[in-house]
Amino acid sequence: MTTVLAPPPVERRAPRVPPLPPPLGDDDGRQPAPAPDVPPIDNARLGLLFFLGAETMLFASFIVGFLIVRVAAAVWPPPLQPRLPLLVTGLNTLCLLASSVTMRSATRALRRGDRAALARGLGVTAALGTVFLAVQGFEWVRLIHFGLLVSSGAYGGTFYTLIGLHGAHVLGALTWLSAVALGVRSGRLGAHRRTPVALCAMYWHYVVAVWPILYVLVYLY
Amino acid sequence: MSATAAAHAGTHVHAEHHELGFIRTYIFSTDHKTIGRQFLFLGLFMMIIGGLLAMFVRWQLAWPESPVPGMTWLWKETGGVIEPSTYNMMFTMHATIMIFFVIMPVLAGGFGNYLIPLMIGARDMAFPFLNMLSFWLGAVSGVVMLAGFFVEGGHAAAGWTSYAPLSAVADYTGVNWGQNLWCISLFILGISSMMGAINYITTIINMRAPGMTMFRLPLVIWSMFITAILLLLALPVLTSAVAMLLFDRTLGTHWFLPSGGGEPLLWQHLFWFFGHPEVYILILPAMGIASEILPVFARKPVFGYHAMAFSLIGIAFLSWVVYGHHMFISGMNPALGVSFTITTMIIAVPSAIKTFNWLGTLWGGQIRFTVPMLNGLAFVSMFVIGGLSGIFMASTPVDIFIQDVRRLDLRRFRGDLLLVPEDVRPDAEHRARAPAFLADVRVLQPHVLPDAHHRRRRAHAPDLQPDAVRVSPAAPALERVHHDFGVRARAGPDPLRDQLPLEPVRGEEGSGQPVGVDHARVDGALTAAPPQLGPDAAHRVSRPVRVQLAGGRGGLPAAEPPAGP
Repeated sequence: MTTVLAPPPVERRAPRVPPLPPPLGDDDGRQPAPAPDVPPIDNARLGLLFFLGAETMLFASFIVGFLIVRVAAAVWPPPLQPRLPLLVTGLNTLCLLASSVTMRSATRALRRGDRAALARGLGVTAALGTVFLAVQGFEWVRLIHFGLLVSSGAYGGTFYTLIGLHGAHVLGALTWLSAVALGVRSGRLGAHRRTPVALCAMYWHYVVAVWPILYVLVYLY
Repeated sequence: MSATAAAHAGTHVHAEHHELGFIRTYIFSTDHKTIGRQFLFLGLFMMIIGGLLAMFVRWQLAWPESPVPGMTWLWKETGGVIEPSTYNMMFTMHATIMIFFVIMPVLAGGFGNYLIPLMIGARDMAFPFLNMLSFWLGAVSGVVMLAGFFVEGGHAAAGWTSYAPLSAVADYTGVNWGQNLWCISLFILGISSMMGAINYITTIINMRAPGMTMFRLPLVIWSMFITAILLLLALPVLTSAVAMLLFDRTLGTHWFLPSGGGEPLLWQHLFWFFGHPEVYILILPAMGIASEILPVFARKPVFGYHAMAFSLIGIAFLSWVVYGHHMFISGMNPALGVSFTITTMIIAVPSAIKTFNWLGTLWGGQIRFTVPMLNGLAFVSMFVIGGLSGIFMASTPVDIFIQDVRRLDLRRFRGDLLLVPEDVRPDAEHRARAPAFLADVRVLQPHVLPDAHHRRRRAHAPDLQPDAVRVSPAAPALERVHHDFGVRARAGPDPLRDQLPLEPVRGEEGSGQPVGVDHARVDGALTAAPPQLGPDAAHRVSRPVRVQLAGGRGGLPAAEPPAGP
C-alpha cells in the first residue's frame, strides 16, 4: 500500500509566449480577518429583513401608482362619489398602533422570560389586529352600500386595491401571530425558542408601520 | 478525523447517513444541487416550447401566408397557415417564455443554486425548504403559463411587455383568459423568485466558509449576489403591475384605463422600472460566468477583480435609474428623457470597465480555444457590439429617430458547456459542440464579413407603423416585420429587404464598412402607437439615414446608386 507511483511523464511543449507576467488579479498578500463563525445576524432574521425589503417595493409601487392616478385627476375625490370615513378609520389607526405597543411589551416579556405576560401580550395584539380588520371590513360594507364599488372609476379601484392589499397583509400577519400565540401557549415557543416569536413581532411591526402612510395618502391627502 | 466522526456519530445516530426515498431525493428535494438541476431542466423544457414558437414566427416571416409543414392538424381552418392573431400570440409567448422561464431559471436558478453553496463553502442554502418551495412555485407558474395555450381565445397576444390599455381590455386583443393566466403566472413567478433571491442573499452573506471574505468570492458568485438583490427589489414591482392589470381585467378597476380616470402610462413606468433591472438580472449571471471562463482558459487570474466586483455593484445601482430609456416615445416628459439619456450613458462606464478587464485577462495569457472559451470570447464580442449600439440608442435624438426599426439585441447562454466535467468530455465532443459556437458566428456574420450587407435603398417604410402592423389582425402578413436576416437569402424580389432603416454605403477602398443595421429588435415596443406622434409617426421617425464610415485612403467613399427592387 505504500508503493509510491511515479507521476506519469508530462509532455511539455515549448511555450510560444514569454513567461507569464505576475498575476494581475487580487494578490493574496493582504490577509483580512477571516469571516466570523457566527454571523452578527442569524439567517432567519436576515432573510426576513430582505423579505421586508421586497414588501416595501411592493407597497411602494402600489403607492406610486395611486399617486400618479391621484395627481392626474382634476377633482379628487370625484364628485358624486362617497367620501371615506375619516374619523372611524382614524380611531382604527390608533387601535392598530396600540397593537404594536402591546407586541413590544410581549417581546419584552419574552426577553424577561415571563411566559404569562408573553402569552397575554400576544393575545391582546391579536385581538387588536382582529378589531382593526373587523372595522375595516365593516367600513367596506358601508362604502359598498353607499355605492363606492371596485369598478366605479379610479377612485374606488385604487382605494379597494391599496386598502385590500394592506388588509391581506394584516390577515397574513394575524394568521402567523395566532400560530405563534398557540405555540407559546402550548410551550413549544418561549424563552427557549425565541426566534419564531421575534420574527413574527418584526413582521407585525412592519405591517403596522405601513398603515399610517396609507391612511395619510389614501384618506387624508 | 475518524475519531471526530465517531464521536459525532455517537451523539447523533441518525444524522450520519440518512437514506431518502426517491421522491425526497429527486422530486421534492431540498438539496441545492438537485434543485439547481431541476431549474436547469425546467428551463430547457420551456426552451423547447419557446424555440418552437420562435420557429413558427420565423416561418411566417420568411414564407408568409404559406402553411407550416406538418401543422395542418393544429390549424385546421386555415390549412396550416398561421393566422394574424396566432402570430401575435406567438411572438408574445416566445418572449415571455424565453425571458421568464428559460433565461431566469437556467442562469439564475440553475447556476445559482448549483454553484453558490459549492463555491462559498457552505453545506447547502440558508433555507433549503424555501429553496424547494421556490422551484415548485416556479414550476406551478410554468404550468399556469402553458395552460394559457389551451384556453378559449388563445394565449396573451399583447407583446411580452403587455402595454396597457391594449392588454387591459379583453376586446382589444380578443384574448380573455390567456392574458389573465399570463398575469397569474407572473404573479406566482414573482413569489418564487423572491424566495430564491432571499435564499441567495442570505446564503452569500451569512454562510461563507471561514476566510472566504466578500472580496474573495468568485466573480460568478458576486454576479449571483447582485442578481439576487435586483430580483428581490425588482420583481415586486412587476408583481404589483400584473396584479393591477389582472384587477383591471377581472374586477373592473381602472388603474390603466383612462375611461375611469386611470393612467395608461403607469403600466409602462411600472413595467420598465422592473424591466431594466430585469435586463441585468438576465445578463449579470452570464457576465459572472464569462469572468470565470476567461481566466481558466487564458491561464491567468482575472484582471482587476475588485474593479469587476465594484462595476457589478455600479451596474446594479444604475440599473434603477435608467429605465426611462425604454419609454422615449411614450409621451413621457422630454426633460425626464434627457435625464434618462444621461444615466444610460453613465452605465456604459462600469460596462466598459468589465469589458476592458476581460480583455486585460486575455492579454498575455496562454489562450486555449476550447469550446467554453470560444463561447466566452463570443460573449465578450457580442457584448461590445450590443453595448456600443446601446450608447447611441441612449440618446433621445437617435432613439426616437430609429424607433421601431431593427437593431441588435442579442443574448446567448454561456458556460453551459464548461460545467460538463472534464472526465466525461472527450475531445471528440468539441467537434460535436462546434455548431453551438457557429450559431454565434452566424449572428456575428454581418458585422465581420465584408459582403454580408446588401446594398439596397429602402424606398419607404410601410411596415413600421406599430399599430397597423403588430396589433391589427387586418394587416397583411407581408407588412409584418421580420427579424431574421436569413430571410434575405431567399431568391426573388422581397419587399422586406427594402425596409432597412439605415442605408449601408460601401466604400471604394473596401475598409470602411457600416456596422450591422439589419437586425430585428425582439423586445418590447410591439404594441400601442405613440399617441403624441400621430398616425403618420412611423414615416416621420424612420426616414432612411445614410451611414458612412471614412475608410481607406480615398477619403469618404462615394455612395452607390440605389439598386431598385
